[in-house]
Amino acid sequence: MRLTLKVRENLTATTAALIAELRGPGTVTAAAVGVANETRDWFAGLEQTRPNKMGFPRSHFWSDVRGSVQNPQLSGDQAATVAITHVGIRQRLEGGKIVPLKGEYLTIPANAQAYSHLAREFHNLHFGFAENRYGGLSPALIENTSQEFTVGRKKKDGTRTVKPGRERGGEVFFWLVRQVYQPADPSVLPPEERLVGAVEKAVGGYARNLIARAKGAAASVASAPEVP
Amino acid sequence: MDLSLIAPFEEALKALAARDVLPTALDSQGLRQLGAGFHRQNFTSSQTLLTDLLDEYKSGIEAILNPTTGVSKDRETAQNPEGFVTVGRNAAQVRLAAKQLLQDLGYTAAPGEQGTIKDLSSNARINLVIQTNKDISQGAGWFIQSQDPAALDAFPAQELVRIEGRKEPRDWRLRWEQALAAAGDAPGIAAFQASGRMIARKDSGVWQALGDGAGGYDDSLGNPFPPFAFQSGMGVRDIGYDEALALNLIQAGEAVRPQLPADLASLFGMN
Repeated sequence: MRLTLKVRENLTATTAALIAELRGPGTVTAAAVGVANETRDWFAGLEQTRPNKMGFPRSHFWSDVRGSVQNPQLSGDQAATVAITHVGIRQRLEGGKIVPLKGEYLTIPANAQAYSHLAREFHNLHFGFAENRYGGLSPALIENTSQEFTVGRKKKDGTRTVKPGRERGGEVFFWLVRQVYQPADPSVLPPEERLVGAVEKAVGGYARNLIARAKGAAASVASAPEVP
Repeated sequence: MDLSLIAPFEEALKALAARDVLPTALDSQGLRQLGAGFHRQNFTSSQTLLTDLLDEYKSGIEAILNPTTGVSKDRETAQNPEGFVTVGRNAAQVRLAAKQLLQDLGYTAAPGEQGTIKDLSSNARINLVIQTNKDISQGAGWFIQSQDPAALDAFPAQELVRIEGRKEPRDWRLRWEQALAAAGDAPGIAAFQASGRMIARKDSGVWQALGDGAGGYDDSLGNPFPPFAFQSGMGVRDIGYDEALALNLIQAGEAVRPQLPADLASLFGMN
């Protein structure tokens, strides 16, 4: 999918005039880098403001997305593409149904230990049914129960005292579901007015830099001593 | 202007591809002494002699950096009528593959090291390898892309910023001051004193000094681009011409020159 921003129609007259004066790939690059930077800043903001809803330790998803935003690639002198090369962003943006690629179930993490992990990383889980938050029973991967033991010091007769400790396990690690529907969320990308603002700022700065450079060059030519 | 969800991150992939897998018995301190140029040409991990494991990491990180686009009827929505789906690997899948490989190889951690960073099969170790190498590849790719002359004219400076929170963040303001001093970046020092922000020209030596751990830090990665140090959580953001001018980092109309380490310049034909 491509999200095309028709920034040209929304620019102020001043910036449009500058662009007309400074036509060429440099201006397009400057504008597109402005878009890339605004997009990165937007994802940095999401990293700060959107922790996972379950309160599990951060996986830094939005920081990862930010790191995948590339600087623009020009296509001709008039257009550029800013790419976001991340496996998860399309699903967040466009939503849709998720079904398992292999097997019957998707695994939904149910605790902090499971979050950001695959079920196959654990060797101590078994299939079962557990009470979900609505009071019903749902299929789940549940931690095996185990008994802790405390082994005492070696006695004179060579034996040790073994005391049973607490019993562990029984905790739900993953809920198993056949499919998930995720709603589209266009707010994961910056709104168009912010991108247009970023283009104007970037092109404006670029133009002022080049104009100042041109003026400086002209002044240095004017003040250069005459060659006899 | 297009925002695309499909184009590969070619510079990041090329920076990763340029690194040959090299098993080594050196620890992290020994590896650090070999310098950043060595690490930009070799894919290593501290005290890892298992070539298969390094190969697995490298191919896994490549798959993270280079997702592809497929089509699935399940994914058809009003926003995505074609049913496009991004296909690639995430860190958890790469971690699982590494764990399975180590299990197949019969690897067991040394007594007393299970679960620690020295245990090649621990989450902490595997996550560190994946995250660091992914971040370095993306950092290199972004750094290369930012050397475009027009990009430098529009955005001649950059700011060191925290991207990811940390439970015990390192003192990056102190590190910044030490790096500025090491680089002798007078405009950067003045900008820091005036604004309190960690901003410098893109051609300042402060970025390399930061990557070199100026001030005596042993966690740095040797590169003039993020993440600068292991699990730093730090990144950079571009600063535009007008702001750089206001901070007296550049003069009106001044051009900032591309600054590339020789090996990267050679790799990307930017000599």
